[in-house]
Amino acid sequence: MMDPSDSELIERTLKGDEGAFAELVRRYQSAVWGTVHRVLGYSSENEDAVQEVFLRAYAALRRFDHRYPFGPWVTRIATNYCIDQLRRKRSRKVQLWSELREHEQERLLRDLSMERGSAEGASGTGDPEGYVRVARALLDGLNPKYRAAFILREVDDKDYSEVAAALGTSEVTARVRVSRARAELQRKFRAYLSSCGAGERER
Amino acid sequence: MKRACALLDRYRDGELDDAGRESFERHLAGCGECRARLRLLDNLVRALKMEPVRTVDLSARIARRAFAPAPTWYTLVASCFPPRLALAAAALGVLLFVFAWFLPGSRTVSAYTEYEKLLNEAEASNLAGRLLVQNDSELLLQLISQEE
Repeated sequence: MMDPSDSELIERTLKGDEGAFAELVRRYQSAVWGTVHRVLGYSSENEDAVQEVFLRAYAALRRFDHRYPFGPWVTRIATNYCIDQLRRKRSRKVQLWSELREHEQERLLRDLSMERGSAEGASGTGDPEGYVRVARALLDGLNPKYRAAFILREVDDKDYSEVAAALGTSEVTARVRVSRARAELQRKFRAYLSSCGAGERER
Repeated sequence: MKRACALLDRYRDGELDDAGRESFERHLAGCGECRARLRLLDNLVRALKMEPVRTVDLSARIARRAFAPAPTWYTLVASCFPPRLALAAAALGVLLFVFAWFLPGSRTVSAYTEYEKLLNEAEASNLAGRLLVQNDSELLLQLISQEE
């Protein structure tokens, strides 16, 4: 027997079928987990965030336009939720970075400024967790809108029309945000390098 | 920043045609700034992509919550407190109310309430009362001075 389509599940959900909504959540929860995790970073609160995203989707389900796919719609809800969270909360990622010893910071920053495959580089052979820590600390300094756009484009590999749909903006705005995020990341990286004395050795 | 540096985003997004890409790569060979930015982006994105996403199946729990009856105001308030604490708070509230009721002076009728009573009586009955109504501000001052 063929699986019911998303539209059928939505119809059944609106008629009060709890199982249909559970199936809809099952289909899209990994995408929402991914968005929440990549935009907010790992946290024990991510589970609450995923639940909240689907509860918002449920509350707005009557307004969902069936001519469009469900996935991008729920991704947009997830992205907006994450941006709201980033605005409200002060993240701990910068603090996690500052807890590292200076020579560890310097090593990580030097690795990240190297060509792939050279020395230990960020090719995965060195300290993947450390590189993630640097990346998260840098992302934490970005405007939440730029950060979400950057993650959607660079990490989730979405094209600009998808990024725009997830952010609820025009494609031009999505491009501007990604471009600013890239430039801002480099500026912040430079600032980190110079703060721990590795600046001269970057090039 | 050189003019060609402005094409870095389009190069990274793979949106330059063959000729554009070749000319940008010639620019890259001599531009340390663009090389450093591309290298950093490559490394950051690779690190973020390697980060594992931990997932838990929440479908049943979310559906149950979505279909649960909407909470009333008192269930919302009660949910903020552990049951014992809520019970203790309710008992304390009752005690405070009883204490306030029997507190000396807590039920003293204010001058203004007394004045309103007189006005009502006056309106309802006799001529003397109507005269009283006409001089109401005077009576109010009199009652206030009595209370003080």
